[in-house]
Amino acid sequence: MKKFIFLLLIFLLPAIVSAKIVSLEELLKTPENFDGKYLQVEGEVIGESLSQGDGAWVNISSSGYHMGIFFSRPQIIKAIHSWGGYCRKGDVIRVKGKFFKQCQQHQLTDIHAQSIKVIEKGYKFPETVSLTKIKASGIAVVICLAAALVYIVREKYGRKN
Amino acid sequence: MKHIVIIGSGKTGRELALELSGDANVVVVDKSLKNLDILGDDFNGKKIWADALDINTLEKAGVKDADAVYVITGNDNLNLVVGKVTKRKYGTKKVILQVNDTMKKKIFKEEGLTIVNRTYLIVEVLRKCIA
Amino acid sequence: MIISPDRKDFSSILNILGRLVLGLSFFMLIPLVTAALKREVSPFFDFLIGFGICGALGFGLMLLFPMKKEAGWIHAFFTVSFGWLIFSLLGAVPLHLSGHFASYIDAWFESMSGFATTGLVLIQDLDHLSFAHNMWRHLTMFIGGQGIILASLSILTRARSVALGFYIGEARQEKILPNVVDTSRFIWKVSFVYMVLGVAAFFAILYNQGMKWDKSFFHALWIFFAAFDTGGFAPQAQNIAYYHSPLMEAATVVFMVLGAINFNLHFWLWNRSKKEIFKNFEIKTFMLSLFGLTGILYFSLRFCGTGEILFRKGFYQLVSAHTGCGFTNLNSLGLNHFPILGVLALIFAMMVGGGVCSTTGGIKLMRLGIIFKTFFTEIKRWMMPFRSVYKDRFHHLQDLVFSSKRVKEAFIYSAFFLLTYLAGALVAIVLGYPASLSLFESVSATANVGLSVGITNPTMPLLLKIVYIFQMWAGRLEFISIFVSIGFLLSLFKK
Repeated sequence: MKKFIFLLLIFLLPAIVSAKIVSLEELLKTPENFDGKYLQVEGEVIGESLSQGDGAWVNISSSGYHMGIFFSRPQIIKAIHSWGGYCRKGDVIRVKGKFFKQCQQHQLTDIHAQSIKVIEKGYKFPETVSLTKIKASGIAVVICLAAALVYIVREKYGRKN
Repeated sequence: MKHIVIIGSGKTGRELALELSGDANVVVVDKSLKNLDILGDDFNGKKIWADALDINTLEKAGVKDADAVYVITGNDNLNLVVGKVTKRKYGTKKVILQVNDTMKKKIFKEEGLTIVNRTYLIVEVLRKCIA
Repeated sequence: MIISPDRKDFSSILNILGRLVLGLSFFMLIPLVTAALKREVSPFFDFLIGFGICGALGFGLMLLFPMKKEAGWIHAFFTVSFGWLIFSLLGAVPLHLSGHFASYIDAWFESMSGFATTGLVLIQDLDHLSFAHNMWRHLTMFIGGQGIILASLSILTRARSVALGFYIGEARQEKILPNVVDTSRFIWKVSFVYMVLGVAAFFAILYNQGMKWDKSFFHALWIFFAAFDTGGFAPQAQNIAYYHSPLMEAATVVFMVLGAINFNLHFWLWNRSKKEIFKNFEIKTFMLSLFGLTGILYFSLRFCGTGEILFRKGFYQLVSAHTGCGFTNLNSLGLNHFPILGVLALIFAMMVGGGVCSTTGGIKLMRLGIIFKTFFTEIKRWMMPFRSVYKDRFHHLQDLVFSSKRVKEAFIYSAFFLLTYLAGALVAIVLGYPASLSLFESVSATANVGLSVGITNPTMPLLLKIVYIFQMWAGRLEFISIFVSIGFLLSLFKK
């Protein structure tokens, strides 16, 4: 029994230790506390993956803060299906990786990912076009055309005089 | 767009400059600041306040690449000298200058310069009024 | 020194503004078409509204206020000053309708930031913004940038030096071509060529990185507008950091610098002697300033990391600050982790800016150069024998002399900028922000740079938003807007 509990703890320990999910806000405000550490972050993926050499980048966003995640093995990125954009919420992923305040390879603040997990699927949502907007645009265009007409007529009439 | 230099911003020069500045790059040169100021602040061209008898002035005005140079100051001799220098040294395509009463003919060409004799022109016009 | 228009002048001014507003409405068709192409329905209507309002206002003004007097410089001054104000207010309409702004004031801030080619942002959730709205944001920078060059070259060079005393002196020399129409043709030609080159370059880089071809094209176009017009907006919240691409950064540096050079110099390089680069006073000042500041930056960053990071982290920010662009490849709080000496170097770079008659703001290289040269000349004079006459020359397209008038103008000008920088900083300090950050943000707004240390934020006090809008406006128009506004108010009292 003791052996079992001991083995269990050994298995769980790394999970407990690295289960720390840090908010992007904390990471960006106090990067020195996390420099070189393994941690997990969560965020919505936005845009698309951008390749660099053999690797690729994914940008995630959370509460208005952003982070670039670097993947030396970009195949992992294939797990992501929805990328944030207009009328589209991107997948929310949990990234497990190493954080660098000043990455030697890329010379900027980033996270080198080891693994990711999609914890919330993204989706496309329909646009809501308010009727007021459509009506307002109609009115605006009508007034504009009316004014244009008056102007053109005035110019022609003025010239005849 | 054509590049035109007008040397002499008297009454004629000014009118010419204002006329041409609508669709040409006009540079006006005059020794008198007052003459240049009368062109107005909105003048759509460049003003150079300098002596036309100075080679540097001519270069600054860009006579070398000009399509036409008008030398129309009140001083006939100056006009002739500057006109000839411009033509000979820079080979400007069209050099037109005005004289008041040095020669008898109205408009004539000499050494590649076009010379307009203003007094004689006016005499012609006046003559035709009673013809 | 009072520019006070009378009733007839007002009519002409409003007429010209009407025409300009009509022009703006045509520009709004571009994002409209973008929305149609990308099937973004709500933005389509946003821009239809914008188009309608601008068109109606434009025609309305032209109808109500006929041209009474020939357009002169006084009209030009008012038109330029109020033009920027009206454009920013109108341009804010479709932006606000997007729903990405906390209030109309926020949208107005962003719009002014665009037209003044600043780059400070109050937009929220930029990563989910429609293509049409992003097109508009970047288009405002293009309009504002090209507009200011045209305005400074054709209009502001022609006023009476007596009437506005100190202002015109420098700009007087800066007519590219005698005829205004030819000058504007040249500007468009050059800008177009650079645009083709820039868009091609950026497109190639982004497409190669895996971005879809249509998005690559849009991003390439937008980044070009923001780089060449030294604005600094980017289509994503992370600015240039989004791309994580050293190539992208290098390419933007090229176009930022091109946009920060005096347009007269472009003319000279294209049509006359290419050697002018080495002789030109402003370029020499720029090189010295950049070199000096890079040194200071290197020195300060050395204690904050290894030397290699200087290029991407430090130098990029420095070029961005000096050219008044405002691109950043750092994350949003990156600048806050810069050592203080580095921040001061950036502030200095922002204060100075780029060449006269470029899209950059700030005191400008010509004036900085004149000030420094004057200091050294004076010191030399003290050391020389009493009666020696000392007249120094400098080369800017032609050989010019350091006249006392020129020197006086340079000093007065710079004083105006410094006062504004400080005033804006004081407002932020009074509202509770730290001193160095306040100064940074104030300079960034007035010199139309766009780098931010975080003060610019939708939650910032309303007063500060208004102050920055005013600073962006005044800085962009080199304070003409202030004199014009005073003259305008006085003319109201005259009646």
